[in-house]
Amino acid sequence: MAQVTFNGFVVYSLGGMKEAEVTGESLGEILEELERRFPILEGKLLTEGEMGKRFIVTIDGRNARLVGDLLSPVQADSKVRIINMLTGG
Amino acid sequence: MMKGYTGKIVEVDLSSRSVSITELDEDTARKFIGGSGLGAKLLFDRNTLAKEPLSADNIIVFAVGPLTGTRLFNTDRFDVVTKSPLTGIFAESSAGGYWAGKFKKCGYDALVISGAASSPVYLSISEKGVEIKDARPLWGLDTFAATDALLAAEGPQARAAVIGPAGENLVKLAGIISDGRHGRVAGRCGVGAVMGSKRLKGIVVNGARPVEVADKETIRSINRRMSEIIRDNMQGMKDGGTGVGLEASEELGNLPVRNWYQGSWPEGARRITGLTMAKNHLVKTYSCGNCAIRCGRVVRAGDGPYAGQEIAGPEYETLGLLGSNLLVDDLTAIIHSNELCNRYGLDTISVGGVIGFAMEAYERGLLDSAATGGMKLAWGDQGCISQLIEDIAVKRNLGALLGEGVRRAAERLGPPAQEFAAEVKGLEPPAHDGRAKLTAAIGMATSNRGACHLSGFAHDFEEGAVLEDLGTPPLTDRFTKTGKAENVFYMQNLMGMMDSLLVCKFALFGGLTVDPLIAAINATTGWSMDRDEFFTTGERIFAIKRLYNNRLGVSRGDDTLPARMMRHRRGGGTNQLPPLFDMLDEYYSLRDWDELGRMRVERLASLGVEEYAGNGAGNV
Repeated sequence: MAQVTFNGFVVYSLGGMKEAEVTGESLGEILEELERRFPILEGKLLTEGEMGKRFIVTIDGRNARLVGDLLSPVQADSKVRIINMLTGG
Repeated sequence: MMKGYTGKIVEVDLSSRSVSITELDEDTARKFIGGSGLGAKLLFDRNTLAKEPLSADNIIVFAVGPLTGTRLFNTDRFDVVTKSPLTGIFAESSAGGYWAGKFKKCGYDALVISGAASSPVYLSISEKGVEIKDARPLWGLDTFAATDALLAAEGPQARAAVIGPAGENLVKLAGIISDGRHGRVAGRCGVGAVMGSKRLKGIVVNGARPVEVADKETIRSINRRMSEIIRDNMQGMKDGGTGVGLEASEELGNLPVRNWYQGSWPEGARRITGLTMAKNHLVKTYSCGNCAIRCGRVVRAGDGPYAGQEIAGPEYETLGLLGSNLLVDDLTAIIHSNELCNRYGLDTISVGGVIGFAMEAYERGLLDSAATGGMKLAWGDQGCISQLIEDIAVKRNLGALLGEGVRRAAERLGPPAQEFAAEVKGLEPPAHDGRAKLTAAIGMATSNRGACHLSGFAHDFEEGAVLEDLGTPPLTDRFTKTGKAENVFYMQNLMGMMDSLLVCKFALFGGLTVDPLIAAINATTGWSMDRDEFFTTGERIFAIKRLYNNRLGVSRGDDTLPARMMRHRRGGGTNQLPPLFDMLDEYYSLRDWDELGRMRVERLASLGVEEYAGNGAGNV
């Protein structure tokens, strides 16, 4: 179980929803559950078994692709955040 | 006395070695804000239109804004405005670091430099005023050595903005480096060459005078709230830097690959992303003043001349133009290119763009061994890239031509080169493709300084980076033209304000919206600005820059994209061509320009700048 918050395109896609409680013990399970619960996210958070490139996923403030992977455990009090990917400046 | 402003513009004439003060009145401050807007007004008013950019008659303006020095989040930035030697039109380039706050606290809102010194000088600016000092011992030093020398002379608390050998040599791709080896760059449009033409090596600032504001408590409250929101939202960029989205960019067909020709490069992109840099090279992050994001990278270089050293890590644009654009998939190599450009004081975007152009020209037989001095130009060959960067900086061999920019290089090579010469109004494009996102297409085609993603900055917002409360028109698919002109019109007006207030645009990604920004302006200045005034001011600032360019002959024919982006389907994530001309009609209508892209007199009047009506506006 984790508290998942969103911003940007995700909020837009979910009709204004900014957060959700999601079941799962690993990051991969969390993302799968999000795609299952919200079909509009299907294929976006996970792509061919990897984290989708169009989003930044952070676990407790750290970029999940840097500090872990889809098997990374997610604690009950973990804060998962899904943010639009940013391309440069 | 105005709050948020010092009310003083310091003017330095390097020919007569004189320093004077001009008053900044509140009406002007409120109409043009500071930074970009104030710089544009000064450029227009000082009659630079007919002046050669590298002559003593041109001016170069360093301007800050009312929020600078207030310690508000993400506000330690300055804008450089001049007439560009690269494009021949309006030029501006901004940079972060710590220079801006130190300058404002000397007691000035802007610095206007005219004339040219008879021998190399630097400016030392403090609360006591401006001194013009001898820089002959510094001439020839790279930007890091020059910065070190200036701080040794002026004190460790000072901050320096300098040019390197490229600016001294009047290379039209030269930029200005602020804060040395882990600093920031005002890179675009050849602004460094303008400093070089004045024999001005650097500007050192060292002020500590507090900036008076109207309502300290409100500013503190806004700062606390927004800093937390921004920090929370931007964790991903802190970890991965601005290159964190490079793979996404490649997937979208937005990343330049092989001089904007090739569609896909996924394996290469994966090797050079910000996260790969973070895993294999990152030592620490750094920030500009008052910034919670910390997108700056300090990396350990791999093998090569800087082996073992901790140096600045490349940003997204550099990873694109000196990486994927040249088919370089080795981060150590791109780090090396970045370091060379920083030391010589070169714009990594334009350098990467012109080298990509040269590689394709060589491949097509338009450049031969005689032209390259025997060097073979091969995609991905870091040895030749490093050599070309050095040759550009010192105007040697092929570098002398390439340092003139893609447009002039293509003119020299003849009509076949136009097909792959990537430039808009003479400026090489950043690592964003107008074929991949239609807001990028319109934004780059209409930006006042040439191919620029920052003056509209709609591209990530088109992908939904931030939506609620920013007030942008509703999103449509990135390949759908509906609404794109309106989106770019809105965002350009907003960015005009961001560039005049000197607030870092990454704060928008972090959740900054218009209302807290207006609240910060009012709390600083004591004004009662509302959204209407905010956006009208942004539109006015855009208009005056366009008017400047109209006067120089810029018209609809210049509002276009490179032939490669207009005619070549690159494949990969983007196999479309932008319907630019359809969108331009709608965009012109929103701007109230005539069919030639000229400002209308009536619109100038409605924006409160009718006094410029005789200066190139379409009299229709």
